[in-house]
Amino acid sequence: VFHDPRSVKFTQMWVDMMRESGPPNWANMTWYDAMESFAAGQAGMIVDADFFAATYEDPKKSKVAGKVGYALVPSGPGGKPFAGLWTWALGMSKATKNKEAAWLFIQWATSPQTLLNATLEYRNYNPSRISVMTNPKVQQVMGTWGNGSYIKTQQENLKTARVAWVPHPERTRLGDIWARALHEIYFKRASAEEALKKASAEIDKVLVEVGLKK
Amino acid sequence: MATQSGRTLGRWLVGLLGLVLWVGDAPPVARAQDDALLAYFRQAKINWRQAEGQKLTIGLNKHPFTESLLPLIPCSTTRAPSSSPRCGST
Repeated sequence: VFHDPRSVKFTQMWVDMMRESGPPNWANMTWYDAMESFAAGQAGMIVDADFFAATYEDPKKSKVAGKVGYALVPSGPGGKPFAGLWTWALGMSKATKNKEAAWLFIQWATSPQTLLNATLEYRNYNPSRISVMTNPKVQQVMGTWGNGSYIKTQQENLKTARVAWVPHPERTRLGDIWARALHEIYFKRASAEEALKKASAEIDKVLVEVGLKK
Repeated sequence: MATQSGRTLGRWLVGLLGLVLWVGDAPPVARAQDDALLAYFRQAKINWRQAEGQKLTIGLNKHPFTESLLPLIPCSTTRAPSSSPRCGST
């Protein structure tokens, strides 16, 4: 799939766009940096998670508060776009010495009341619990964003969103291979076709190594 | 409480002297507010003090979710003053 001609064409177009119009430090940016960069007014557009809006709309942190509009990512040719649902979680290591204390902490931290406090007092928008999301005070705050476009877009997005992330131990390793390929294309060390073909072979090797492919 | 920075930063030592708010010296009005806010946790019928005296080391990613949780962590201990940070919203 990686070096399918359509993938190669799209990747080249996307990397060209990043090189010509993206942030100068694109290759070193994390998602958090991108969020802060947009909030600092350093970009005209960003495509990422809906919960970033809590930062964009925070007048204490953002230069663009009250100036952002929200919309779904447009469809590509023949495509049906959907958002990948992410999960926020607190876990406990099996090596934890104080398991009961850790479990009590997790129960407290993920309780509706704590998450409501975190949302209303410390801007945990948009919250992961339905009871917090539908709280009238929470809805009131989020309802003002983008002149109302935020909540409409967010609700529309949830109609097709699904969990796309694969919780496999090799997920990070495979992602790194893909990211290295994008860097090679970005810095013109390889064409999109060459870099993606190489990445595809490396990924196949890992899949064979961990028994996911023969 | 100690912090360290990095790509995935966050390491906090939390003294768990019981997972309830400390309201011992709160003035009457603040205590009444705290009682209302704590009612939610009391109804769970959990002994929030069962881990009293134990310590937890908590690692958190740098993320808006964890940044919203961090200031509330003192609310999970008996060391927390009742008014700052705000431990409850109604």
